Amino acid sequence: MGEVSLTGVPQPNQVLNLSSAPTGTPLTVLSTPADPDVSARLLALGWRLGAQIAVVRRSGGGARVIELSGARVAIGGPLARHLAVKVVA
Amino acid sequence: MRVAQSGAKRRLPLNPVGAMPIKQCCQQGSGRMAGPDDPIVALVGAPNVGKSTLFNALTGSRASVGNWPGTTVEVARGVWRWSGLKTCDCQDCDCDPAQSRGQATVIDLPGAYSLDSSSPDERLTGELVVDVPASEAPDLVVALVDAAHLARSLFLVSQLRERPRRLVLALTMDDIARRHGVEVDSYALAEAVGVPVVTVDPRRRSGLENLIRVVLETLERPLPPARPRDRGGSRPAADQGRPVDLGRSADVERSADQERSTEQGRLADQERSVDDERFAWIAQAVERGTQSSGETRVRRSDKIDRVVMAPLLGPLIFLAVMWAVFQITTVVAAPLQDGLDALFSGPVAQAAAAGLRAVGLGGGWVEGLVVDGLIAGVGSLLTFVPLMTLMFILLALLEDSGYLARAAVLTDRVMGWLGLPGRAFLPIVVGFGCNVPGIAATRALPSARHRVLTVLLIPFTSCTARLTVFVMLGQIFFGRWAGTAVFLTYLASIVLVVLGGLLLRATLWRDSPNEPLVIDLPPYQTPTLRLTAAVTWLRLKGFLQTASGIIVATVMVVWLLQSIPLRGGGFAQVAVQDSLYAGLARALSPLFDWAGFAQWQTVAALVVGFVAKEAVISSWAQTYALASQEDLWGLGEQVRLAFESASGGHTVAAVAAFMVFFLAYTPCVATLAAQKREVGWRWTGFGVVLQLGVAWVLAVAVFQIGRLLG
Repeated sequence: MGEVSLTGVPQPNQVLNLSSAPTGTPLTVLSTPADPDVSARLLALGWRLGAQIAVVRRSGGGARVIELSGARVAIGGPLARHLAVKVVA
Repeated sequence: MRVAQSGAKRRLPLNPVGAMPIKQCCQQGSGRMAGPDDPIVALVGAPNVGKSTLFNALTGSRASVGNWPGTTVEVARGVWRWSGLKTCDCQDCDCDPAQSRGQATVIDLPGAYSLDSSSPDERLTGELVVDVPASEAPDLVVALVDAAHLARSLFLVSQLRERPRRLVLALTMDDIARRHGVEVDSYALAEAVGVPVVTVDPRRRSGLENLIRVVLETLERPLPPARPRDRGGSRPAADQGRPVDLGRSADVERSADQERSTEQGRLADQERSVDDERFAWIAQAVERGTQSSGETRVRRSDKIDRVVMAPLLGPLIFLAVMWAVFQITTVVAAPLQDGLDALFSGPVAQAAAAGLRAVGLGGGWVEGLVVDGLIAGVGSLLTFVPLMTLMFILLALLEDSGYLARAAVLTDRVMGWLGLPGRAFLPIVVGFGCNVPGIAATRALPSARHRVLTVLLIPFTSCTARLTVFVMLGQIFFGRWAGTAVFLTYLASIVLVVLGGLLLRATLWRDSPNEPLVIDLPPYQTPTLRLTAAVTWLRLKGFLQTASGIIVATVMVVWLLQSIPLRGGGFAQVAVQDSLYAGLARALSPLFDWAGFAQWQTVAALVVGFVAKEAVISSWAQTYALASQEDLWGLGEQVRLAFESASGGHTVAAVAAFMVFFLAYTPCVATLAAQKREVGWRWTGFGVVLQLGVAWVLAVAVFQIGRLLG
């Protein structure tokens, strides 16, 4: 489905988990949380399949701050590791 | 009512597309409003969008407000009154606007991003606005929409508009949107969403008059029918409709096909389709309602976050902020406390005594009750008003600025060790101000397990009422190190929360998974004087109301117990050491032999502290004053002597043990009431036993170790 980077630099269409996604790179959401409550909460904030997001920063405490629907949302490290995103081509 | 106009550029869209024109006279409209059948207007919207601030601006009352999720933890209700408004659209209306009056009941619902949430707070919004029968539903819903984050705010609106409810959008944060290069055209937005839109700035009270007009106009309309979701919205692209399962990406196609073949998969597809339609509706509303300047400048909040959320620097800044808060509350408050103390123990007490003598009540038990009981007790409480005020101002500044939401992110990993989400940090921080609102704030946690665990841990947070006692003991026993000693009690408090969390997680909730962190980070904003003052006053007033009532009752009970003789003397003529009060305290004091403070006045203060920590110092003042009225030693010296004699000379160890006990045992009866409300009596009772057990064990350990060390 996606191309794998051999250089460590994310390639267009490369599939990553949110935790390992680089900051500042436009990404497409490929998965939603398995837990329906968490999924509903993220959906209300704009996290849905196909949405465009970007990781703004890796925060102290292990969380990822992302740009989502023009706002900033912090997602904890463990959850971020289970969310798939794709580098926008 | 004089309210500034909002910055709307053109006439407000009172009659959105498809609605019937309104020709209702303002006199008729306002006449319908008067009386017991006031319309009910519900305020809904995401957290941080300004709901509570708008509620305060409309009603003049003071709901708890702040700039972080979960501030509105209960439904606030108030009366919205207006007068002198021309509320109709008539061209040749002869009604006198000065005569028009009206009022509505406003309810401020908890912040909600959607109607589907599992959080009790957000569920409450759905239950009160959507799930109730039409006869019990609010007459109109004002949905607050953040202009700076329009797409996100419209998700809740997309769900609300599918229900048969009168709806008005109040557009907030317009100034922030402009700073971000986004212009929201309220007229175009109203046309796009089919609902009236009013631009308001509740922090500066602008746009409220327009909001009243639009609300009145909309109330005159019949209930709209339930709107079907728009069909024909843009479908997601091919790879948007199929979820990726990380770790099995090679099987994605197959797993997606399998999912589709099942009933669950079919329902999931249906839900996705509904959401796609909502998002398509939102996208067209945003496109039609906004103009972006295309600027991509780095936002101020991002610049600040780059520093305060940095992996290493962020936690250090957080600790520095907490340290500064407590230094300010101890160092700055001290001279103010001294001044008030001198006022109450001097001129006020003397004036009261002189007044009683003038009416023939001097010298007897009445003077003792009034001067040594009530005035000493209330005076002791009031001397700590500066301390409370400073604490609440600082907490309000942290909340309103947006920093506390960042603190929740920074502490998420640590909270995860306790089995709690980062969001649980917020109620715990509030607990450091006062346990009662902290416990109320646990309602923002979606999971019942997290609520119970947080409710059990909050009593270990050192509230400002306990701070007053720690400051006094610090000043008596630790001199210039008083500030550091008080800071250490806060560290001990944090350790207690951590150990308590680990203990409970390892025993009661061993197999429960952690709740993942998902938290909105509001843009930083400069706290306004009005908002900070309002929040500070609200909390200070709540503290004084709760504390003063309990203290008066406690002082009366203590005075009564002290007036009942166990041996010798008559009622109110018995030496305090011969009273029922001393007898009860003496009966309990052997329990504290191993902790080094088995002295009856100290134990009596702990008994009073179970009722209210605010009353402990007044209890001490009262018992020592009555026990030794001829003595010129101050209260501090009396307390010092008590600890010295009870600990066999190991005074510092005994004081440390007492402070640990004081920190860990039941905060007050008001906290118990709040706990009962949130988690029921069973967990509340469990919490009391847990706190008393932990407090006693730790106090004994601290004293015994301290004694061995010298």
